[in-house]
Amino acid sequence: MNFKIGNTKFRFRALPLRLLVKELGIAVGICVIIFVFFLIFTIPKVFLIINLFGQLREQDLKIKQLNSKLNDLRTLSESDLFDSSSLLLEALPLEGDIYKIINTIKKIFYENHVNLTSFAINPESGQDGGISYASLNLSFSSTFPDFKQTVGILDKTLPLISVESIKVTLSTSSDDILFPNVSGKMTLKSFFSSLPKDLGKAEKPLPKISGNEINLIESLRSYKRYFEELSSEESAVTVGKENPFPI
Amino acid sequence: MKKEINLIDAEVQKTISLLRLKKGARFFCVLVSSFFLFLTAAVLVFLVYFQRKIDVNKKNISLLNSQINSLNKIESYAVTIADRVKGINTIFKNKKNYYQILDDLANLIVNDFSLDRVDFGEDYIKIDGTCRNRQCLEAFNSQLEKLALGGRYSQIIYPSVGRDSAGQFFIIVELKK
Repeated sequence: MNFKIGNTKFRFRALPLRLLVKELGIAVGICVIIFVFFLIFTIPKVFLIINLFGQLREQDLKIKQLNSKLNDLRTLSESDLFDSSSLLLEALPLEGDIYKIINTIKKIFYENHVNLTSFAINPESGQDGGISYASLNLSFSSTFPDFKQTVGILDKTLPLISVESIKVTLSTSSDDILFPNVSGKMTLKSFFSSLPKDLGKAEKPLPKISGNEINLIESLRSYKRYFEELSSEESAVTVGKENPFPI
Repeated sequence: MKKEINLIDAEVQKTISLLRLKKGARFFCVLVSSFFLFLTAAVLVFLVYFQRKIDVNKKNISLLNSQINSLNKIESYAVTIADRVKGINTIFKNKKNYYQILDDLANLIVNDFSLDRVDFGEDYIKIDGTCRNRQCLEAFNSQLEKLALGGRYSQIIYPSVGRDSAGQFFIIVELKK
């Protein structure tokens, strides 16, 4: 069908409704196929992306932690740490060496003129705040100043020894006008503790050592060690090839 | 008053509206399809980007781990130090400072004072002594006041002070922590 409005010519061809519906059907069909494809293919990928995003955030956090740890590790001096950890392991050893403790105590008492009349290892060893200890009962006699000096030295000796209780009796046979002789019993504790078992997690941050803790380490340096020669022999490590020409 | 007259044939009008509908439907289908296809493309781009980034991060993590492992001696020393310091702090926290107590006791021994008996209790120290004269008692008391100012003892009490006919003072003092 042709007709003219003004100078514009219009031409229409008859459009059967069936053809139109068919064309619309094809278009809607393609839409539905794309939507179904979207549902089956894309939606799982969206969940995958959410999952990957979570992983990425975890990884970023881990990288941050590892970087921070690496930087911390790089600022530390291995030799200084070795010195400090050796000192602290002397103060609080991994295993209780009762023989060494008894020898140390005997030496301290001898050097300070305190007569050690008897000692007994208390079979009841236990744990105190996560730290194992062995307990020793001692009997002694001395002058008051020597006894006081001995207690002071026991407090400043490595491995750490703690005076748990003192029971003294005073004897009047002292030459000192002011201070009588003292004799009595003491209970001492020597401590030991195994290393923590949670070593080795790379992303675990390095433990921070506060100023007070540095002061504690520095104060321990002034503590007396009675069997240094023994500990230095123990800590001798063969580095590199073994000497092929032993004497 | 204007009056609109549609001169187009009713069949033509129907055809035009059907064509418009067809055009609109096509446009809508193309739009919807493009939208879903665009979303799919975007999702694929993100997926590739995230996977690449994860791969890069994995490489970085393994590199950092190997660098940290090469410094594991330092780490083990640091962990040992922290663990020992914690343990030693616990020991010091529970430790009774007998040296300080004995030092305080020695400071209380003034001229003409003789120490007869000392009891070290869980939270107290009981001192029995004898002062030969009044000056000794005053000096002893002055030392006790100094000790009280130190703040190491919560309470310093005289449960008993006696005097004999020879002018000697028998003192019992309790220092409570």
